[in-house]
Amino acid sequence: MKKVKEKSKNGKMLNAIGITVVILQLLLIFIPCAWGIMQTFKSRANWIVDKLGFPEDPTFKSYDLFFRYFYLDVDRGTRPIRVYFEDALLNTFLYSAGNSLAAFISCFTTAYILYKFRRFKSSGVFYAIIVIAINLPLAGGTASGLKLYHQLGVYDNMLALCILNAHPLQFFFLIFYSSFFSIPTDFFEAAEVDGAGRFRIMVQIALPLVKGIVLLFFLQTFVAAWNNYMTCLMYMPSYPTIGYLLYKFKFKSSPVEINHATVKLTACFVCALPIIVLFIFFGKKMMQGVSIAGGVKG
Amino acid sequence: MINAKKHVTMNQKLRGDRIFYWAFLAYPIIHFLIFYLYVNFDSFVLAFQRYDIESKTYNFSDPWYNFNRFFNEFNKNSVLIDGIIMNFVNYAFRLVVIIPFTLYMSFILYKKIPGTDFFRIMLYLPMMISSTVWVLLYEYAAENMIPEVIRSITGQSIGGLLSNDSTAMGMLLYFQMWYSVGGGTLMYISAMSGIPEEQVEAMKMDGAGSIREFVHLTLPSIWPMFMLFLWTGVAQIITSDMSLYTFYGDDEASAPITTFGYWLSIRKIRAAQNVFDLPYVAAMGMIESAIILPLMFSVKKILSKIGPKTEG
Repeated sequence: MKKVKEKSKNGKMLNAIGITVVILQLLLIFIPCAWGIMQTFKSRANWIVDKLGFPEDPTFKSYDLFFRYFYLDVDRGTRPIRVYFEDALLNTFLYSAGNSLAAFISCFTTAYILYKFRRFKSSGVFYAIIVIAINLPLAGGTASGLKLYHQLGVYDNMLALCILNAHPLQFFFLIFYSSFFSIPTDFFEAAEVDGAGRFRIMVQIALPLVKGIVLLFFLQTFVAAWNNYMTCLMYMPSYPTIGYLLYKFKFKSSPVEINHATVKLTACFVCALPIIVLFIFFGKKMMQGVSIAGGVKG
Repeated sequence: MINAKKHVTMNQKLRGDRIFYWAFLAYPIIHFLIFYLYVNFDSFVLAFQRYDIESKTYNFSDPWYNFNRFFNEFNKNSVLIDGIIMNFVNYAFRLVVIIPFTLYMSFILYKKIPGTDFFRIMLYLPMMISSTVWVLLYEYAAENMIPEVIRSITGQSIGGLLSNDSTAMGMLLYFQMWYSVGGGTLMYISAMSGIPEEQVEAMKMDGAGSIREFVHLTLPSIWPMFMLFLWTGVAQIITSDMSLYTFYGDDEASAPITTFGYWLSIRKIRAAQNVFDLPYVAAMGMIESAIILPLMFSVKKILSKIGPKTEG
């Protein structure tokens, strides 16, 4: 009896330590966030005298400066173009929509075909090749890939980049592939008996049955495209996305009034806001992605 | 007659299946042949080539030029030795501090403490936001917020923590933890959730406490995933730039420390913008792969041998 009581006491203590650790970790993340947002409403003079307190006379000056100077001059060959926040927003939507759609079509159809026709010997071979290619860390492809893009004349071309990114060598291929095994085969057999063709079965039976994963796929690719700056920097520098524009803005020092904490923090907040809104609506769905990834890897 | 008709129908169906199968696999196969096999093979070839500005072609005029250039630059730059050491320090920090802390957090949340769901959501949010946002926020917090808090408590001015050489390394190492613990925690929780409830109950009935449960049941159960993280993390010994490219961009001189990965990233990105420097990038990629691949496979072999066994 004494032992049981001691154990429950130990358990409670461990719980208390655990909760404290988690709360501490969250505070370490969210206190700087709250502090950062607060600074965006300060004037330059207010920031110089007080870097910690609440804004003395809240102002939207930093937001005004942000929308005026959050741009990048790019060269599209014919003439220099100034890309502002809203243009980058459009680029981000176009790139993430195009990229997600092309990658989705490739991942979904390849996974479905390899699942549906797994009786063909070659399907097992293709599956093995894809799994190996996903896991094999080859670091040398960047240069040759860029060389090929230049040779094909598709360097710095958003549409071409989307099409070239449409390959099944992605983690989501494995998720789609394994999800088909959880669908009862009766669904496909019943559709065949009813005279549905192969394409119709794929689009009207298989696709709706994995629509949860499809939504997750689009959400995750969209967020990745929104945040990523490296793809733009390397492959399509004259079509800046929000992530790229923010990265460039981080180092931008002219005019002098934007080279200031309040404006830079405003850029952080504005660029993160759409993702936070998306998270409010689809947070639970997005978290499923981590569960699936953890499950597959585990 | 009926059998023959059935045979014909079966054959027709099989033929239709084959056409459908190959029609949909044609694009991924072509894509794989060009953008995976050819590109990786061509990278190998490109590493031994040079770009001729006059003819605008790549040739084999000096096959070892790119490798010599790399090693010359490497030898001339004594900072690079520090960079390699820094990469190892970063990996050690990950192994000794970040991974155990992440596992601890995951185990706490897996055991369903009050507010688990809320904590999980809050830990997930940072994963969604751009690393540039976090870098900017961290930079201003380290340079302004924390020194100001310390000044208001102790009355002493300590200056920016990232611009001070004695604190910069610690702050940049801590950034890795600050930024990545949430994501890692959620991945481990998902893997832990797959442990059958009966096994957990059986351990409890045997009188096992939390620590014993973690060592003898939880850790062995998530070992494949743990191994995968450790295994893929090995590549970062060489390639990790510790987010320095996001912090300091192309300007090496302004960075208080350097890593080999950062040095490589700068050169790769610069070279990638000039067609005549692409062979150099290919050579760097080859050297990188030549170091990473044997390292990864050796670590994988070691890990698979030393993995724990479940008690339940």
